[in-house]
Amino acid sequence: MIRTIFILILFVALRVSAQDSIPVKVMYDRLELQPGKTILFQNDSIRIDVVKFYLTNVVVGESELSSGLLFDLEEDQNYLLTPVSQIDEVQFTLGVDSLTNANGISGGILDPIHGMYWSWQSGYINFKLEGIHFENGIAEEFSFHIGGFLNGYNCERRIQLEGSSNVSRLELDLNSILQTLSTDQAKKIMSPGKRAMELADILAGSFFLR
Amino acid sequence: MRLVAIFFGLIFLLVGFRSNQSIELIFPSSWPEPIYNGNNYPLNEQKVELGRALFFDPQLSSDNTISCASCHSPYNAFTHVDHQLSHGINDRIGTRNSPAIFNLAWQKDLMWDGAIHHIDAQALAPINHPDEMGSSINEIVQKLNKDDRYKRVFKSIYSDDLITGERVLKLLGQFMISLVSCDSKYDRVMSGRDKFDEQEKRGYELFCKNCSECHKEPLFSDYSFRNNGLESDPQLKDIGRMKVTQNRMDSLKFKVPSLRNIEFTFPYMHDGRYKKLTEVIDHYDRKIHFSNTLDPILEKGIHFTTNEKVDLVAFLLTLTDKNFMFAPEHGYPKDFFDQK
Repeated sequence: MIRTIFILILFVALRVSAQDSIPVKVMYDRLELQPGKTILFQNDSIRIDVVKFYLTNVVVGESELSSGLLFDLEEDQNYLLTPVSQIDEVQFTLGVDSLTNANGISGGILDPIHGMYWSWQSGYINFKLEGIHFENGIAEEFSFHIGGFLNGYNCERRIQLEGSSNVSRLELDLNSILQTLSTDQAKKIMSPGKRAMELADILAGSFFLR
Repeated sequence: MRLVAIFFGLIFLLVGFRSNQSIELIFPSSWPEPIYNGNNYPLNEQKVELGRALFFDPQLSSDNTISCASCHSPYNAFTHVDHQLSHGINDRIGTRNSPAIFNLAWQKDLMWDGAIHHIDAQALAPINHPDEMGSSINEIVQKLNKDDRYKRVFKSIYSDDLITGERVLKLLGQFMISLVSCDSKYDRVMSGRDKFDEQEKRGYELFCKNCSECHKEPLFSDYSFRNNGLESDPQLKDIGRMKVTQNRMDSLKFKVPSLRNIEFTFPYMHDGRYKKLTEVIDHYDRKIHFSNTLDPILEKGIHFTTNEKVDLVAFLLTLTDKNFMFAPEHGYPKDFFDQK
């Protein structure tokens, strides 16, 4: 009897750890990105140092997850814990919703110790991407800190994705946002505004279930 | 079993209530309802006390030399008086005059440009600023987690002794919101407990006629953002509110400061350019600099005779609240820091 219960518990535990999570990966040219590694970009190269972003108010199928995710490229494990193993539809907010922002400071993944809260002004940074673009022998730093929820520049984006039955992970493809480095647009976006809104739109179309 | 659980639950509640006293802001009944009130921002005596310890603790700066109180001294209505601009670690100088901290419960947007929308996020600005405390909330949390004095009090307030960024920031918020200044001579006159002398009375009339639209009673500010005709400092190049809203119409606008305790909050203006109240009055009288966003009220200046200026200053001095400034519960928490 005890042995049966033990096996049952083990079985349930394995099921939970094996199936009830969706890994979240950041990709470039269909390859998983590694922190601090240089990648080929057009005829030159890019080194990505920081990718950090919030996925909040996550709904998988019909059920809302109790916790969101602060993705950090430097962490080995980035995944969403889900109550179901089959994921054919997922909805989430890229960033922190304006109501949470309006209420001030929160804890857990939203604790400002994680470096995702602006200090010179109010509000969470929804998404951070930092690195160096090497072009024609010149190294140029770039940093995109996308956020803001006031004055008509609300950068939270609600994203809805549908996948096939054999979905195994959620991917953020950096191709589109990195393409902006080859334009004349500013390479340092560190405050809310029109450009941050445009980049938030690009990011909203860069998530895929695969 | 259930009875035992209820019994312990009751004991916990009783103990909890005794050590976690909720407190209310005390202010005259004629005042508007604060934005931060008991319903949306409950104050707790122990948390306010612990927030005060954090406020006076130089561990909040990178080299342990500067506390919040360094630039916001209670004896000057929680601002500093010896510098035009805020003064940080390694004698670095910031870009703005440190604002006086009181009656924040009535302020929707904080800072000269309203960049901070919530009191709990406020402290991050000076903590992170390289010319102020030059630290980070992460560094502070690591320091405080090694400090037994804090661990003990955290344990008694929360169910554990974990010191997090969220808790530290909210404790500082509790202390700052608790600071209410409403016991000046003006307040006593308004409630019939005192009388203005003749000069103060004339000054009050001049104030009502010329100043009260922006410096609205009873808080002595409407907390709006306005361009009050200061010529932009070519070195500081401070565009004010426009930095936050990115709207050209907000260029050179700064928050209207309260005139309460103005006797003690010199130097004046967002960049501390005026040392004396008479210089401030002279500015409105004949130094208004015209620019596109100048407040329409000031287009023609506000003119006073020499005698009127003296009367106006006499009235402004009735806004001093020494009971607020010298209240023991606003001063350095010696008992906390004397612990081992």
